[in-house]
Amino acid sequence: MNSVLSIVAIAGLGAAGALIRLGLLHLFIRSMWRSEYATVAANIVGSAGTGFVIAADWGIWSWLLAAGLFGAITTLSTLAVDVAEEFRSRMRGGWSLLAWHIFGGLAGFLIGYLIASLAL
Amino acid sequence: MPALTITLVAMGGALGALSRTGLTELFGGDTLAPETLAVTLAINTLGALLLSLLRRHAHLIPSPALLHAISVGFLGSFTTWSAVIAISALSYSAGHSVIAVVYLALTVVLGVGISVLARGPKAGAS
Repeated sequence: MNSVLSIVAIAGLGAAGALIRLGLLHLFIRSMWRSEYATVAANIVGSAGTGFVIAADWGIWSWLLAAGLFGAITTLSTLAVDVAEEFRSRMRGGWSLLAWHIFGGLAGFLIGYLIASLAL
Repeated sequence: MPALTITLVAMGGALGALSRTGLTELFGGDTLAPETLAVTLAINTLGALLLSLLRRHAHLIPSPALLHAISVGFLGSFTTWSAVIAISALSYSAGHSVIAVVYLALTVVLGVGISVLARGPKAGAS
């Protein structure tokens, strides 16, 4: 795949990733769930997808999906700001939210990796 | 959700992903190369700082759609958690467990730490 197509693919997949994250945020807000956990869900789903495409080893497509789509679904900036806000209001809540991101992300990656390793 | 918000978030997401992958291609190397770890850490820390400042000064952004485009779209896609998780998991499986733990911890400490500092003192605190 040439560099122009790669740029177009990353842009398209990045846009899709941001819209999926926005959709999750609105779903959580409409469902009266805490919006911070929309980012947790996005980070778990994106980590699972990354584990899947790394294990699938689809060459350039694995890289495009991992860097473009799943890189954009997941986010560190909102994680950091949300955890910092939680720490400011109640220390236990901050640790809990952080643990969800870390262990949820690692578990998601592992599950995605195992599914691709077993199924493909 | 307004169509303008959706369009601007998509544009911000595209720009954020392109900026991240562009910087990683420019300064990074293979997935576990030290340059890749460094540039991903720098991108994530910078993004956390910018989002903290944006939330603190959100009143300066005239339109909610533009605010979403910058925060959810651009900065959300510019920074990444899946790459941090992948780097840590792959480092661990390659036998570099110290790098895996330190990299994950450093990303969180720098990101959360800079967010705390950028947000300033808690409202009502002296």
